[in-house]
Amino acid sequence: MPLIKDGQFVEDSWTVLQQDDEVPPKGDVIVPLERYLSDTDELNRRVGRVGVALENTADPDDIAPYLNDIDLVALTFPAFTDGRAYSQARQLRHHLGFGGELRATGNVLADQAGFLKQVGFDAFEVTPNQSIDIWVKASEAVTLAYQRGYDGNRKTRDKLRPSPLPQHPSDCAAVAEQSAPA
Amino acid sequence: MYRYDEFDTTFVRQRVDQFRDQVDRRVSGELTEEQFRPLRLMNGLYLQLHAYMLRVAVPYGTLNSRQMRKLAFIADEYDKGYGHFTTRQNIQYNWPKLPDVPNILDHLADVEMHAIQTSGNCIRNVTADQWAGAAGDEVEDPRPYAELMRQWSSLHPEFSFLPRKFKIAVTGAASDRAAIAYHDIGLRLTRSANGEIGFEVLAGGGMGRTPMLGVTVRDWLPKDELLAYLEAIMRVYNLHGRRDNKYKARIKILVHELGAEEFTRQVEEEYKRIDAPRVMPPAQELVRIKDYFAPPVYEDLPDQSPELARCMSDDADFAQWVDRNVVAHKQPGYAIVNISLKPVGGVPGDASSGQMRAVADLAEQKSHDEIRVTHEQNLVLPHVRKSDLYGVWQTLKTHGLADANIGLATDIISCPGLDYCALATARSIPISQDISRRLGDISRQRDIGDLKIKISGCINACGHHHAGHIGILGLEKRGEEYYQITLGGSGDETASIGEIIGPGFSSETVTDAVETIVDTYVGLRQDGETFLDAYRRLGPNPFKEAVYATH
Amino acid sequence: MAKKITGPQILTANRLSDGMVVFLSADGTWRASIDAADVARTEDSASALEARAATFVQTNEIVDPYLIAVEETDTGAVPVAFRERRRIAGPSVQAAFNGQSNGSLAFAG
Ligand code: HEM
Ligand code: SF4
Repeated sequence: MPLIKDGQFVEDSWTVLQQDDEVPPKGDVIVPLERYLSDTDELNRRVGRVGVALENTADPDDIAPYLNDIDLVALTFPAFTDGRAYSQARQLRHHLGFGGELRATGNVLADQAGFLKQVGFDAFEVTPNQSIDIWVKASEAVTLAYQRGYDGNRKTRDKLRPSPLPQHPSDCAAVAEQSAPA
Repeated sequence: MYRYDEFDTTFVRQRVDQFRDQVDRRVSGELTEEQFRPLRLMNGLYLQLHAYMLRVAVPYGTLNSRQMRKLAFIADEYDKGYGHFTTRQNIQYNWPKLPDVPNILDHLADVEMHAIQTSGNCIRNVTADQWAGAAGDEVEDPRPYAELMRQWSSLHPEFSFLPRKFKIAVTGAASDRAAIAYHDIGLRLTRSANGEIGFEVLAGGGMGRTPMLGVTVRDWLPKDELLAYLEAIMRVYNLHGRRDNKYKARIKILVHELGAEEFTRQVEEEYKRIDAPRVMPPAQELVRIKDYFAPPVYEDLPDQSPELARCMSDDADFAQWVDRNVVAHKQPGYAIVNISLKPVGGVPGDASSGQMRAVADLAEQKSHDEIRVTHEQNLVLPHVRKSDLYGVWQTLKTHGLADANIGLATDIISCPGLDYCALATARSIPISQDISRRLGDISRQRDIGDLKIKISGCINACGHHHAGHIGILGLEKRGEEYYQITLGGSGDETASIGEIIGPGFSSETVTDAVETIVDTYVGLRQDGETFLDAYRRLGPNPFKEAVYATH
Repeated sequence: MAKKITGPQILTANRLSDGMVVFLSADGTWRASIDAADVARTEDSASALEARAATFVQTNEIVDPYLIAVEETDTGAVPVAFRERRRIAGPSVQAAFNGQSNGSLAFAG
């Protein structure tokens, strides 16, 4: 499946393994949760990074103890109308502080791109024949968000509204706010 | 009223452009109908029996005159000169063409309106007490919170693909005019033991095939924790609500299957993990929104108006209208005017473009430029000087808007049913018209007193029949429409679900049955007892006996 | 696989542009009137109607095509299902407005 990151198609270095597939000696692999839980040590020790694929009924807390060893979590959308993985993503990023790659798989369409980024996805496995132009355009169609505390680059009201100009040079708080990194 | 700032304006325009692009891609074939359907639904565009239908959000039922005139313009320009006000305080147009819809949305954006999330499995238009800010019985105006939730729920990244639609209602009053117990989440502003105002939070109410009343998950929530707490409820629902069966996908089923206690535990558990300060708007944001809802500048008036008293004694029709349609305002010398969209024999909730303009003019001149849409499919002028009432009534009369039947037997709620709706099993509007004509005599209606008749054209219950004192559900059997009657439902603070009284009735006999029920009540009531009170005292039996003995 | 049918069938859909109810006619065009609808009396011809309709889904002319059972009467085909009869007839109610409307209330087609 084609993979999109940072608004372009990229080479996918990861191999997706099923429950009983043999693990190659090296290279990056994504394994199902069950497999990871049963072979945790072996998978963490091998050469190459490890990613875990979660069903959208799985509880992200199940991998909480291992998140330092996991480089990628793949979440899935069996149908694009099945939105459970949005909440799983949010829990991984915000409750568990997962900082690795968060990959959207399954039925991933351009019109969801904006939402996906906001809940913390940063890699998108899309169905073949999607146009990158449509993807980029759709994901940037809306640049604003009312919801605070989400990820992505949509701007919230407090970020968009220009901070009031400092009344006099000693108004440090306002200056600091303006020059703070976005 | 809330006014858009640059942020809101840009947001809504971007959404229109996005939808225009989606329509273009559909027309050019880049999107299939299957892909387009959820996208158009997220913008309130349905494909109905005979044509498209566009549902436009009227956030918490509040409009100004410019907005109402724009709705009239759209009705004339893109539809057939009328619109249908719904039980969710929205308006529906029944005949738009697909390529016109982005243009309609642009017109709406001109007056700070949109169709975002008026359909689809997302958080729908937040509804509120139609008398908010004007009624004497509220602890606080709920509209700033409704607006906060409107913003928060708009294109919510996490909660736009829920198991099913999600409806939130909020009231600030002890008398529940927003039917909060029948919503996925119901909110009531209330005082804690030490006098501080917060929210009572209900969850798990709903209508449809399995009607349920919401349960209280929090007696009292500090006001500034609202959005973080809603996020917790939504997340538990998004993750655990059933997706295997559309009829079991609403939050009411989750609450029911887990049990109120376990559901509440999961919500509180999730809530503890939410970084509330990150999610909550800064305090000044609520202040900013609240400023827009500051009361209008009222005149200092005596509460009694001699003009009003004189006109009422001179004109009995006017007096009757005041008695039913006008209610007390919290400001001395002012009143709340309810405009009935239920002329005897008319289509409940329909208004012509001419009527919309007439109401807009009245609002501008006589009601501090404010209009409300009610969940009973009527309109409200919330701030009218008592001394202006006679003039307002006369103007309403010339536009066919002065029916003095608010809360009476002919103030019937009806969904579109099989005259428009693709999901319907039977027609509902013609039944409401028939009942309305039968019981239409105004002195008879006044004698019957408060009575809520509500009709749905299928089990989805858009016409709130479960909450009707008399509820009617249209079904079909072997090519014939038939109608099931429920009694004893109520959507107010004493909410209850109506009970089926027995076998259904044909379209020819259902009006007779309703009349028999009403007559039975009139025969059995005690002094001052309303239909609902009498039913609650007597139970269904006397009504069943009367109905099934004669039919 | 041939379509199982229990009687004569016609093919209906909604037009993409305005959602209007249309019927597939014998000359291969979509018409607003049921009178022109091509009636399939065998399972093979019903399948053929469906196949033809599918090509118009591809070209984005119509959406949601499906067969409906009809009764053939002296005055033409009449749908068996109550819902379909209502769908074809259009709304049975006229907006009343106590005769005060300034808008046009024409219920065409
Ligand atoms: C005409 C097109 C309409 C369609 C296709 C439609 C569809 C539906 C469906 C499928 C449900 C059931 C949802 C569920 O139980 O999961 C529903 C419920 C509802 N609809 Fe509609 N509806 C329509 C019009 C209306 C109108 C005109 C109103 C207002 C008058 C309305 C208000 C409601 C309400 C209040 C409910 C019940 C809410 C609940 O189940 O808790 N709908 N609608
Ligand atoms: S109750 Fe049924 S018939 Fe009535 S509008 Fe809702 S879905 Fe349509």
